[in-house]
Amino acid sequence: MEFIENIKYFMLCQKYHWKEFFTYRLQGLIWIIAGWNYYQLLLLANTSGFIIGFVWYFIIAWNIVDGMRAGELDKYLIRPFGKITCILSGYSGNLTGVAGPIGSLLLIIYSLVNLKLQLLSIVMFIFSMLIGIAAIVMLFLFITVLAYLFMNSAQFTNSMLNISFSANSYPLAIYGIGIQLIFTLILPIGFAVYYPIQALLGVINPIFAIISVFGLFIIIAVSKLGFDKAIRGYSSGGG
Amino acid sequence: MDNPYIAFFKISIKDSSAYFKDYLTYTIGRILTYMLMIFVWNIVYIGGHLSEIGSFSLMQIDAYFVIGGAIFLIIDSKNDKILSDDIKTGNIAKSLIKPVNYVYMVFLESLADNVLVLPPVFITIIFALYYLGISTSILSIITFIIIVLIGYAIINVIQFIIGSLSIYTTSAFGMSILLANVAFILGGAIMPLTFFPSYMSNIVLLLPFQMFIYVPTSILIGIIPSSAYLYYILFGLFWLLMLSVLGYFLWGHVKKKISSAGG
Repeated sequence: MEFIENIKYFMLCQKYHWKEFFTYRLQGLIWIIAGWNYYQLLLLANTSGFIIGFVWYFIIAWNIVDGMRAGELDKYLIRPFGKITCILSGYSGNLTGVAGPIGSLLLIIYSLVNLKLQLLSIVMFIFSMLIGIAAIVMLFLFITVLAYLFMNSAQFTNSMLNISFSANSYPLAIYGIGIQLIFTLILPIGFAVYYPIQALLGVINPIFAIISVFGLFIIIAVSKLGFDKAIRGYSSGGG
Repeated sequence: MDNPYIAFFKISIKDSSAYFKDYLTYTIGRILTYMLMIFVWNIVYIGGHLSEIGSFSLMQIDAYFVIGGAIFLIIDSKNDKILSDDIKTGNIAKSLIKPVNYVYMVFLESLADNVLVLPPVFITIIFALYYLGISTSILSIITFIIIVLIGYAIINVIQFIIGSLSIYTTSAFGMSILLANVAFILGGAIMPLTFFPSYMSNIVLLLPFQMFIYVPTSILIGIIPSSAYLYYILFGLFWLLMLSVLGYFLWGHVKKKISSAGG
């Protein structure tokens, strides 16, 4: 039985990433996409996978929306902690949920070793990745509550997460300016994935890495404000 | 009185369409996610100054991903989840004593989801053919429909087999993810199978996964010649038969292993 459990965990680890790993390996043999080589693409896809993987872990939209539909969210909200802490602790995933980010982390390390980058740049990159997780989790928590209020739907959040992950697994430049702006200003995953990696690889001036971190703090602040306002629209089972 | 299967199918459709906005966002999200590949391949063609890769022109590759994105919505089944959940919760014991065929019920429940996505699938395919100026023949359209139906039947049988295996593995979740990813790559969802290195495509073109996206889409856009249509229909039917036989024997074995809370 332990063997089967191990296989299941292995497959979960690969949940988001082995498909990309394989594809880039194939593509990397033949083409360089938009000037990005195989290891750079692998780093990009797995940074996206690492951050989105944590969002999947913390924001299980079905659970949050089911809780709101059933009017049972108040059982968490009356606890003597902040609303966000209560929701994240009450509705986040279990141990298997972190398997995705772990799979990504291994491939990030593999890519970084092969790219042979400066240690200082890597430290900056890790710092921005951690803030990126906080910002994108906060953003999707806001989107989940908003989607419930306007659409009574959890699928909206899941679809947005899927699109974000897929789109940010490739350099945003390939999509043209319109889509690049969407992932920079409207669904700003670019601040957590694309721009920090470009700075890490030396494609853009390192000052943009600092601007990206600043952008992430703005996302946290705006999402927090939006969440506080949106959660007031929730009424419990008791009215 | 309604036939019990028709009545169950109607209820399943009502159940699946209960949250229309969920369905809408799922459908749009899935098509958009898939169509992002168009950008990637456009960059490969334009950036590499290539007019053709593996006999696909740029226009054909755009059509391939738009039509493939639509088919991708149909080539899906939740048989594995239904079966696995029923085995895990023990509900299967209750279902098996009902005076209906449990296997048919599983297939019908899954089919209800697929029927709902048919309108956007048709619209997307017609749009792709018209907008991208792809000329196709009646024979190609008929063969396309037959191949999609065979592909749909194959994915259903494979997922039924995976769901059945959860009697041994407790959960089918890991295997379902593995299948989804294998079907995604080897079905031609990321790139046409002729783009693979020849040592790989020689193997991949022997597997049933190509019936999901690569074969039907290539038929519709004229990559596969009409002289090969019969071969692909027979090839798909062969795999469907093989997998059905496997599923039949496995299900017989699983039924014997099921024990309810009452013993």
